[in-house]
Amino acid sequence: MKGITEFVLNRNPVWVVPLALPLVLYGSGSVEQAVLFVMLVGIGVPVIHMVSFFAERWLPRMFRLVPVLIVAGTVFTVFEMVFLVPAEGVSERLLLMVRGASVSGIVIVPTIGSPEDERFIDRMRQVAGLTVGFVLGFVLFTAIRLGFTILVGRELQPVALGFFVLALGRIAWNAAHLDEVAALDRDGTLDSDGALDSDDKERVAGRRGGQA
Amino acid sequence: MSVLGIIVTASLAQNVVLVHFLGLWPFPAVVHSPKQSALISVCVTVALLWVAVVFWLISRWVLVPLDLAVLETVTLAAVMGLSALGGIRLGGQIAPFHQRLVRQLVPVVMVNMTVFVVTMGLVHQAESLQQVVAGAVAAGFGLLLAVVPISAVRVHFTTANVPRLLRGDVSVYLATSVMAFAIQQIDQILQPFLVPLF
Repeated sequence: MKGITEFVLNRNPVWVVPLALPLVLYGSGSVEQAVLFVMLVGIGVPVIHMVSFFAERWLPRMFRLVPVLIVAGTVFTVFEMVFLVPAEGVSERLLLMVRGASVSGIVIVPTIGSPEDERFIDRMRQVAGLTVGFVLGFVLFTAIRLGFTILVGRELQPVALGFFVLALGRIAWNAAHLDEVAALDRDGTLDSDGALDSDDKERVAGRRGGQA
Repeated sequence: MSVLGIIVTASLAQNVVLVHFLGLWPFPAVVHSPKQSALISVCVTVALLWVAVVFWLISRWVLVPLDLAVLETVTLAAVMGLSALGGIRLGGQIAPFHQRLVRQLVPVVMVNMTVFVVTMGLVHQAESLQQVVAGAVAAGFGLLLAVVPISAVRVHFTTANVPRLLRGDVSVYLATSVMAFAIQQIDQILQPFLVPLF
């Protein structure tokens, strides 16, 4: 449960470590698309890792990226056939984004970041954390973005508005972690992805030790 | 669409980052410095070129003749995965003392939505291999045009005296937001003359 909470709060894949930025920016354009992408990630990513975890064990460690990509491609093709092929008027861009989800960070990071002796339960805990973090963060992001659009009264440039909303989210995150931001800022290590990964903390600790 | 039309569309009017919501998955980490961003953009362009050409050949010679278009996603994902493996091996031989960096960088460069979506869009739209090549290079150039200025803004904000609340990724997001808004104006001007790529 602690691992899941960590991904929901401190390493959220939407607000803190943006692993699925294209999906977030595109999928939050309308309620229908948001529901589609929540299902895509919410169902797809856990299923992919349930299967690919075992497929990865059959191959040498350096090949582990290939099975996860093949399984992801298969799962999202099935998803496309179930949800998009029967629907009429599906745009080429939506189709490409759904297909492209199979190579997004949220799918491949649990595999490429996995330790050698990883257990199935550890992988699923991480995937559950990423998925729940994505769904909660994405729903919040969509609500803010659509709220902005309703407030202004016309469709705003999606990327510009999307990044602006993300910036607001990071400002809120910085406000909630001012101590850590100050420490990393002082040690010149703030400019990292999420600013809080273990490498940063080690560097900060190392520099402080050196200075002492 | 003509080769010139594809180049202008893919690099500017339909910029992969600023119009098409694509980008490498640790986006803020990619824009640490202009030099690093330029290097990664060039690497992504090479990856895009390789994957687009290989997938175009597979599509034209295998998937379309055998009526296996349903396997497009799996095939492209597999091509990207195997290319990443090849890239890691090649990078390890070229830079044997930077194996850790190569193992971290190659999957980011080779397996991302920019490479996937641009490749699939080009293969669906382009009629010849020359158009695929031109489109891939132009999209890579579009990525360079987007990330280098954003990284310059980030570097400036890192050293500038700004409130703590605005430090870190906030500058990246705000810079991207402003640039996306500017590119949209260019896109609107060019829209009557160019067919959207995808």
